[in-house]
Amino acid sequence: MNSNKHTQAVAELDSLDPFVRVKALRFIKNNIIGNKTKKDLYISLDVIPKLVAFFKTQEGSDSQVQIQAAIVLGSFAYGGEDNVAELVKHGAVKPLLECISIRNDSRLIEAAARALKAIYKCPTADKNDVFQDLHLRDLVTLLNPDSLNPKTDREKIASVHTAELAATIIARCCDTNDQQIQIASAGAFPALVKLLVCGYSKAQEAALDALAYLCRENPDFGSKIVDTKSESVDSPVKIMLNLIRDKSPTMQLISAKCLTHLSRANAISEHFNDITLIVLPTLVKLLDEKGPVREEAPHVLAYLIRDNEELQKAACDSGAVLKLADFVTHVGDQDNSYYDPLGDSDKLKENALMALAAVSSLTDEGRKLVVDAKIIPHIVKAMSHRSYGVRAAACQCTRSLSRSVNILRTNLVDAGIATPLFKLLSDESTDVQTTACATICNIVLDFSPMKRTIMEQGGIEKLVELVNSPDNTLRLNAIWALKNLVYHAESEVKDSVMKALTYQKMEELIEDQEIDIQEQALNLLRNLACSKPHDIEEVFRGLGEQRLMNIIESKLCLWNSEIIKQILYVINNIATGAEYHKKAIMSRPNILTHIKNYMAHENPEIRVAAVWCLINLTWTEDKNNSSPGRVRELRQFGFEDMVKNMMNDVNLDVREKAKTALSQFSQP
Amino acid sequence: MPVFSASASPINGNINGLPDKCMCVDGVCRDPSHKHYAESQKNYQEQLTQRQLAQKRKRRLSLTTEISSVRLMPTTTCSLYSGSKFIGKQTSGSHSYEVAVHIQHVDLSESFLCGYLHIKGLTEDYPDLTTFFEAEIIGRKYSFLTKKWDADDKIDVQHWTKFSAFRPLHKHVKRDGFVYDFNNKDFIFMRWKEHFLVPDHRVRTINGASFAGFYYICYQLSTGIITGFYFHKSSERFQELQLHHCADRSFPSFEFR
Repeated sequence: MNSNKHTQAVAELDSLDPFVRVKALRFIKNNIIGNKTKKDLYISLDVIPKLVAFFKTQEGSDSQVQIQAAIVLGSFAYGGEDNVAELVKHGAVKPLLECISIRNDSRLIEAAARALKAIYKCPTADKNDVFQDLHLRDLVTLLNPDSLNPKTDREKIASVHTAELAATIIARCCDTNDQQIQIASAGAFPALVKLLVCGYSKAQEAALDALAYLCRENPDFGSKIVDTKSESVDSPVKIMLNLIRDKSPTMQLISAKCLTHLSRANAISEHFNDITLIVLPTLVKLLDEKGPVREEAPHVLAYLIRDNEELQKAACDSGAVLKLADFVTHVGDQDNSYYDPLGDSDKLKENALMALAAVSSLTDEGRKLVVDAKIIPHIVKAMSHRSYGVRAAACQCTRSLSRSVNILRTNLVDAGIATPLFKLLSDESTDVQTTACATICNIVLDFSPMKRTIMEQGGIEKLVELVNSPDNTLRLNAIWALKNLVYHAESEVKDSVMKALTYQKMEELIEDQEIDIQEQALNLLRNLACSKPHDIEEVFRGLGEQRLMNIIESKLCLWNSEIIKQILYVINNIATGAEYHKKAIMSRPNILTHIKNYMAHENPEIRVAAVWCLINLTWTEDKNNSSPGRVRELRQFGFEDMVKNMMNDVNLDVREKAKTALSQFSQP
Repeated sequence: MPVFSASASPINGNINGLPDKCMCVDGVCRDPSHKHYAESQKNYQEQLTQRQLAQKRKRRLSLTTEISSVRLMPTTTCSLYSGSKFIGKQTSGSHSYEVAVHIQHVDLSESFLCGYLHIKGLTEDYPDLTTFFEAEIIGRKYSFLTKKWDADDKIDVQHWTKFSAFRPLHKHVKRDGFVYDFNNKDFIFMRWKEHFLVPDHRVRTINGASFAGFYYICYQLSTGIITGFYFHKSSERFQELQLHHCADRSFPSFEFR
C-alpha cells in the first residue's frame, strides 16, 4: 500500500535521530507541495501536532528540522481556509512567530514568515498573536533586508524576499485602528518607505500594500507616511506616482490603491490633479486586465470615488460605467470559466456592483448612466446570488439609484425590486440585512409607489424586529426606515407603526448609546407629532405629558446640531396643536430658555427652527383666543427683543421668519 | 450685520460668561442659564466622544456595508422644502386652469428640486392631470442659457426678461463664467421640465395636451410667489403660471439613506 509510506514518514518524525527526521520531513514536503489530496491525507494522519512540537523543545532543537517543519506547515497553510483553521487549532501560529526573531537562522525566518503570510491571508485568522511579545519589532526589523547581514547574492535575494513577506504580514494585520497604531509605533513607516525604492518589484508591491492598509481611514497616519523621510531624493508620494507608471499591472494597481487610501485619508489634497488625471484613469484602464487585478480594480475605484462628487463625475466621463455594467451583465453565475478561467467571478461581480453603487451615490448624472446601462434587471437577479457579498452589493447599487424620486417612480418599480429587496431583510448575513435595510429607507418614502408593497408584506413588523438588533448600523437603518415611513403618513399608518414599535421602545431609542440613533428616533417623534391635533394627541397619550416634556428638556441640552434641530421641530410641531399642547411647553421655563438661546445659535437652520417654535406659540387663530396670555409671557421672557435683533440677521430665511414672529407680538 | 455674538448662548461654547452661582440639586444642575450646567453638559459630551472614539478604534475597517458616509441632509430655503404646496392657475389665451404644485424633494446643494404638477380641466380624458417634474435651479450648476429642449439663447432672453427681477442680470448672462449665486437672494430662477404622468408613468401620449416643453420659473422668497412661462416650440407662447405658497406650520422631515 502506498499510504504505508506516508504513515511511515509520520512515524519517523518521532525518531531521535535528526537526520531521519529531516529526511522524513523532506519526503512529506515533496509529497504535499501543490497537492491538495496529499495535504488532506497528512492532516488526517495528525501530522500537525508533531510538527508544532519540533518548535517547543528548548534543548537540542535542530535548525534543519525546524526549517523543514516550517516549510511543511507553510505548505499546509497554502491549502486554504480549512487547513489554516487546523493549524490555528493546534497552536502553530505562536511557534512560527517565535521563529521570525532575528537571532535565528535566516532560512528558518524565511520559511516561518512564508507560513505566516499564508495563515494571515485567511480573513478569519486571529491576528492578536502578532501583537504579543516582540513580534512586531521582529517584523519591522525584517523589513530592512540588511538586518540579516546577507553576504552572497543568493542571501541578498533571500533577505529581500523575507522583507517582502514581513511587509505582506503587516498589510494583513491592519484590520482595526488599534492594530494600525501598534504597527506604526513599532517603526514601520520609515522601513516600508525605504523598501519602496529597493528595486525589487515584489518587495515594492508588498511595501505599498502595507502602507495602504496602515493609512486606511486614518488621516493621522496618512500625513505621517507622506512626511516620512528616506534616503531617496523623492518624497513617498512622488515614488508612488512613479511606481503607478510601472509596466506591471499589479504594481499599477497596488500603487493606485496606496494613493487612493492616502487620498481618502485627506493626506494628499494638493495632489488632487494626480488623483483625477493619473490614479482614476489607471484604475479604469485596469478593468481591461484579467484575473486578480481586474477583480480588485473596481473595489479600489469604488473606495476612491465614494463621498466625492467630482471624482464620481470623472469616473462617469471615463467610460467606467459601461465596463462595470458589462461585468454585472455578462459574468456568468454557473460558468466561471467563460469570462476568466483564473478569476473569481463572484468577487468581480460584487466589486463591479460596489463601484456602480459608488458612481451613482451622489449625482443624478451617475444614476442616469447606470440606469441607461440597463443593468437593473441584473441587479434584481443579483439579489438572490449565492454569494452574500454580491447580494449586499446589489442592495448598495439599488440604494444609490433609489436616491432619485424619478428612478423610484419608474425604473425601480418596473423592475419589481421591492419584493426581492424586502426578502433580504431576513438574510442570513447581517451585512446583507444592513444594506437591504439602508435601501428600504428610500423605498418606503411618501413618493415611492413601492411603499404600499413593503407595508403589505409586513414591512412595519419586520423593521420593528430589526430595531431590536444588537448591531448598531442595522438598528440605525431600521429606525431610519421607520422615520421615513411615517413622513407625511396618514394617522392609521402612524398608529400601526407605534402599535408594533411601542412608545417605550421609542424612548429607549431616544436614549440609545449611539447618538445617530437618538437623532433618528427624535426625527420619528417629530414626524409622529405632526400635521394635525389628533396625531399630536396620540403622542401625548402614548408617552404621557411629563415624559414627553422631560425628553424634550433633556435632549435640548445636547451639544449636537442635528439633535437640536430635530428636537426644536418636535416642539414646533407640538406647538401647532391644541391649547393644552402649547401649555405643556409654556409650563417649562427651561425649554423656553433653550429656545431663546438657540435663536442666537451659529447655525442658521437652528435659528430658523427656534423662531418657528415662537411663531407657533404666539399664533392667534384659536377660538378661545388665549394667545394674548402666551404673548405676554413670552415677551416677559425676552423673546420680543431677541426677535427684533434677528431682523438684521445675515440669513434671509431667518430674517423672513423673524418678521413673521415679530408681527405676532404686535397683534392687539 | 454679522451673525450674533456667540456668547449669547452657552451652546456655542462660551462658558465663562455665564453666572457662577446656581442652585444645584445633588450636584446636578438643570438650569440652562447657569455655568455649572453648561460645564457638565460639555463634560458629558466629551466623555461620549471619547467613548465613541474608543469603540471606533476596535471596529473593523470594511467597505461592505457602506458606500457613502456623506449624509444627504435636506437643504431648503423659505417655502422651497419637501412637502411644500403651491396653488394658482395657468392661463393660456382666454382660458385659465387651476394648478397645484406639490414639491417632493429639494436639494439646493445640487441645484435640484422635483415635484408633482396637478392641472385641472385641461382635457376631457384627464380632468385631473398630474405630471412629475424636475427643476434645474439657475446657479453654480445650471446657467440661464438652456442650450437644449429647442430653446436657443434668443428664446431664453425672451422668456427670462418677462421677469422684472431678471432684467438687472440680463447684461451679464452671456458673459463667460457668469454664475448667479442664489444663496441669500430674494429671487430664485429655475427651469421646470415635466417627465412623466403620475401615477402611471408608462402613459406616453395624452389627447389634447402635451408636456414636451418646459417652464421658465421665477420664485420670490419673501412673498412665496412663483411665476412661470411655458415654452414649447409648437405651443402657444408665454402661457403663464401664477402660484402662491400654502403656508404650513408643522414640518415633518425625511432623509435619503
